[in-house]
Amino acid sequence: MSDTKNNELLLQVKGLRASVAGKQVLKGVDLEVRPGEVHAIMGPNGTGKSTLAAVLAGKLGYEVEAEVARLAGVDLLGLEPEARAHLGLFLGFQYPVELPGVNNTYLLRAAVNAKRRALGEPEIDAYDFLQTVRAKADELGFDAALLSRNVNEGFSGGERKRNEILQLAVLEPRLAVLDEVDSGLDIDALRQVAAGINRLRSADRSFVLITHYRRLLDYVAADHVHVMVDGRIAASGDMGLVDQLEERGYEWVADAQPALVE
Amino acid sequence: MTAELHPADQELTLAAPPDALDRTLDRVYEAGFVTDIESDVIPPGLDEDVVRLISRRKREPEFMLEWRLAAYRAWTQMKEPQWGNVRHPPIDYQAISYFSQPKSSGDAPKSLADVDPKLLETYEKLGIPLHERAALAGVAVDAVFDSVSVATTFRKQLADVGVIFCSMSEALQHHPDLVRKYLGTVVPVSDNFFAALNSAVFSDGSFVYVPKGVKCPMELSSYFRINTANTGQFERTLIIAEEGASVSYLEGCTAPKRDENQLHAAVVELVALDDATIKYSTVQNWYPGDANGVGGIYNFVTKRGHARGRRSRITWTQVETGAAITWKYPSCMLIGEGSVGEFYSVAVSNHHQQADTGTKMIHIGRNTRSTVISKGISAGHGRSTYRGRVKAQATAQGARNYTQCDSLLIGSECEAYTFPSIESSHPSAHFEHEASTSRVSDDQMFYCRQRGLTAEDTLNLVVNGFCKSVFQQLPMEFAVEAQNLLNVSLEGAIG
Amino acid sequence: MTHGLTIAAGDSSTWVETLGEHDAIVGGPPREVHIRLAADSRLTHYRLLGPDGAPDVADRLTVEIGAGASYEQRMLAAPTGQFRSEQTIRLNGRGASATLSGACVALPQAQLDFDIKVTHEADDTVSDQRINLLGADRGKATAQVETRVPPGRHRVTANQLLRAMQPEGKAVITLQPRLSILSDDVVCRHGATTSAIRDDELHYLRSRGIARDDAVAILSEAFLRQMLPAGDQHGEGEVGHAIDRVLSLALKREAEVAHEA
Repeated sequence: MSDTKNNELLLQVKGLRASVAGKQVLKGVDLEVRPGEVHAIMGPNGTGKSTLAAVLAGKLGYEVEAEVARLAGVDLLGLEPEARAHLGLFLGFQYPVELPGVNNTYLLRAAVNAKRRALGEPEIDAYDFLQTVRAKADELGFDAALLSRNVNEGFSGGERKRNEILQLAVLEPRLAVLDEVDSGLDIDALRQVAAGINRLRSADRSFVLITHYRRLLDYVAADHVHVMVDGRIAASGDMGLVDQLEERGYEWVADAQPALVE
Repeated sequence: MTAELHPADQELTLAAPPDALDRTLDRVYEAGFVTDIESDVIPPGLDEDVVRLISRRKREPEFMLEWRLAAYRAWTQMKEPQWGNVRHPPIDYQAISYFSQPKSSGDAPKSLADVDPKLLETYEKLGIPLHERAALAGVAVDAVFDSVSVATTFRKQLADVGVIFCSMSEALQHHPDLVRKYLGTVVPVSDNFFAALNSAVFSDGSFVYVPKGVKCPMELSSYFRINTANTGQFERTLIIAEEGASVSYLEGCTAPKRDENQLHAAVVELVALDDATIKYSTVQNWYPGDANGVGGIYNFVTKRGHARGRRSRITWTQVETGAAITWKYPSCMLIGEGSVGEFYSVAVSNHHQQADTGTKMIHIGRNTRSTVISKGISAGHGRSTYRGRVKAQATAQGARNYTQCDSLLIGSECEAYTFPSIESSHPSAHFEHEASTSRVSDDQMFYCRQRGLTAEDTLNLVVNGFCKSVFQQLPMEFAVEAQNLLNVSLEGAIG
Repeated sequence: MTHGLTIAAGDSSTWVETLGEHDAIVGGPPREVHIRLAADSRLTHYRLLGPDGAPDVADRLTVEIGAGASYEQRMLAAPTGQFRSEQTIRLNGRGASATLSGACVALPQAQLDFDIKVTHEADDTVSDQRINLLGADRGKATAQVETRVPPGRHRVTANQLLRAMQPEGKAVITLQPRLSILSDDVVCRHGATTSAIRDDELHYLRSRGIARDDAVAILSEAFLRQMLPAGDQHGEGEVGHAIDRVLSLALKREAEVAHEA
C-alpha cells in the first residue's frame, strides 16, 4: 500500500461509469482529490450524486467500470467494501440504517479492530477504547449518551448524522465522502455537524461533501465545487460557483457547455 | 449385602436419613430381585414388563410403579401428534431400548488425548473452561477430580439452608412424599403422547425443593451430574419453590451433546407458590448429525410451570441449536393473582434442522402478566416455526401480555413460520403481539462493511444484536457461552 | 351460486357486494366468488354484510391479481348469525398489490370465522391486511390470516394487523395472524392486539359531558370507521350510505342487547 505525498492524488477517478438494474446512472465521472482538500458535489436530485458515493464505497448491485479509480494509488474497483474502508475510505450515509441491539461503542471497536487486524496491528482493548471514544465525543460537543445506545436505534435524523460524524472521528479515515450529511437537519444540528467536520479537517484528510443545498457550505468552506448533472460532473469551480448556482439554478449548468471551468 | 449405588447417586446424595434407604433396600432384597436384575440384558421394546423392570431396578416406592403403569396404559391409547410443522421419518418405539446400562469405563476415553480433536476445537471456540472439557468428553470420572470437590462444597451450602437438590431417583428414595405431592400435577400423565411415554419410562432427572422463604444461594446446574450414563434420554425434572422461595436452575451446556439415542422426550414441571420465583434456563447444543442431518437428535420436550401462588413468577429462558428436530413449548399457567410468566428464547435452525417451538401463556387468575420474546434464526436449509398461544380465560380480569417474536433468515434456502394464537374471553385482557420476518438487510450489511467489518463479522454482529434482548435474560454463566454458541452454530452460514 | 368478475387490463372499477341478500341458503353450499384482475387493473371491492341480511352466510372468495394490478377490499361485516368467509388471494404478477381493510362486529350470539390466505406468487408484490374486530357480549370471532411467500421471491412486503376490542361483556375472540416465509428477500410484519375500550379515551368524552353509554358507542364506531375511508371516491352517496346503515344497525343491535342483559 502506498502513501501519498502532499501533491500526489488521494483520490483519482477517470471515466467512472455505473449502472444499476440495467439503467446507466453514472456516465463518465472525472474527479481528483488531493490530501487535505474539501470538495463539494452539488446537483439536482437523481443525477447520480449518491450513486457516486455508493460506488466509491463498493456497494453491491452496481455494474461499475472506469479508466481509473484509485485511492492512495491503489485500485478500488476490485476491492471489497471493508478493504476500501481499511484503505481509509469513509462513507457518511444519507440514511444511516438501524442495527437493533448492536451497541454503538461495540460497533466502533469492532470496526477499529477489523482495520488493525487487516494491517497486522494489535487490537485495542475495551477500556482504552471507551476512553478514546468518550474523549472524541467531548471534543465534538456530542452527548456521551450516544455511546451507550444501539446504532441508530430510535435516533432522530440529527442524532443519526451526529453519529456518522462521531464514527468519522473515531475511524480517522483519509477520505470522507459525506452523502447529504446536512439533509433533514435543523439549524442547530447543522451547525454542530459543520463544526465537527471543520474540527476533523487536516492535512492528511480530505472530504467530499455531497449536498443539494448550499447551507452546509456556509459553514464549511470548500476548496473545489463541482456540479453533477445527468451522471457526469458538468461544471467545476470554487465557492463562486455556488453563488452562480444560487442565482441561476441547476438548469443553467445543464444547458451550458459541458466544461464550464472557472 | 451392600447396596450398590449408581455413581450419579453418589455425587448428589445429601445426608439422608439412613433408615429410609435401608428400609427400601430391605424391601427389594426381600423380593429377591436384585441379583436377577443385575445380570439381565434387556432387548429393545416397550411393554408393561419393561416398565416394571425399570421401576424395580430403581427400587422405587410402590406408588411410582402404579403411576408409571397408568402412564404406559394411557400411552398405548394415544397417537403420535402429527400437527407439528416438522418432517421426520416415523419413529419405531419398539426399536428403542428403554433400559440402558451405564457405559463400561472400558469404552470411555482415558484422557483428553483420546478425544476427537474436532470436539476439542469446538470446546475451545465455545470458551469452555479447560477443567470442564475432560468431563464433557466423557473421560472417566476418576480422572476428573475437580468436579467432585466442587460438588462437595456446593452440597453443604445447600444443605445448610434446607434446599434439596438431587436426582429424581434419589428424591424417590429420600423424599417420596414430596415427589408424590407434586409429580404429575403440572403435566398429567395423559397430557400428550411424549409426556405419557416419559412418565412410563423416565430414567432420571433433577429434583429441586426450596423451602419457605429461602433464596437459593447459587444457581443450580444439572451439569454437575457428570457421567450419568445415558440418563438423558427420558429425563424427568420437578422443581418446587414454596412461599417466598426463589431458585435459578440451569440445564445443559453449550458443548455439543452427543448421544446414540436419537429420541429425547423430557418432562419438566415447575411449581411456584405465593411470592416464589423460579427461573429455568436451558442452553443446549445438540449434535446435529452429519451434513445431511442424518443421525441427529429428535428433541420432544414438555415443559410447564404452574404459577400457583399470588405474585409468583416463572421464567423460561432458552438458547437452543443443533437438534435435527426440536419440538417444545415451555408454558406457564398463571393461576395465582398477580402471577407473572416469562419466556425468552433464541432458537437456531441451520443445515437441515427443524425447530417447532414456542410457548403457551394461559391467564387464569386476576391481574396476571406475561412476556414473550422469541427470536428464531433460520440458516442453510433450516426451518424455524414459532407456535405460541396466549389465552385469557373468562376469569382472567386485567390480564396483560406483550409478545415479540422475530425471525431472521440467513440465506435463501431457509424457512420461517410464525403461528401465534391470541385468545381473549375477558374484556379487560390487554394483549399485544408483534412479529417480523426479514433477513439482514443489504443496507445493514453495506453499512457495517463500509465501517471495515467483513460480511461474516457483520452477520455475527447483527445476529447478536437481534438476540440481545434474550441474552440479557440469561444467567451470567450462560450469557457468554450462549453468544459463542450462536457464532459457532452459524459458521459458514454466509454462502 | 357462483359469481365471476374480471377486470380488464388497465381498467379501474368498484364493486359493491352485499352479502346475505339473495343467495344465502341456510346449510347450503357457500357463495362462491371468483375475481380476476388483469395486468395493471384496479378494483375496489366493498363487501357488506349487515344485521338485516340473512343470519347465516358461508362465503368463498378467490382473487387472482395480475402484474401491476391492485386489489383493495373493504369489508364491513356484522351478521346476526354465523358468517364463515374463506378468502384466497393470489398475487400472480410482478408488482401486484392486495390490501384488505375489515371492520367487523361480533354481535351477541353471532359467530364470525375468517380464514384468509394471501400468497405472493411473484416478485415486487405488496400485501396489507388490517381487521378491526368489535366483540359484543357473547359474540364470537376467529380471524386467521395467513401470508405465504414461496421460495425464490424477491422484494416482497407483507403486513398484517388484527385488532380486537371488547367494550364490555364477554366476547370470545381468537386472532391468528400467520406468516409462512420461504424466501429471504422479504420484509414481513404482523401485529395483533386485544383490549377493552381505553380508559383515557372514555374519560375524555365523559369529561365533555357525554354519558357513558354514548361514549362507548362513539368509541366503538370510531374503532370500526378507522378501517373504512371517511369519504369514498366512487358512489360517495351509495357506498357511504350503505356503510352508515350497517354500522348504525350493528351498534344499535349491540346496545339493545347490552341493555337487555
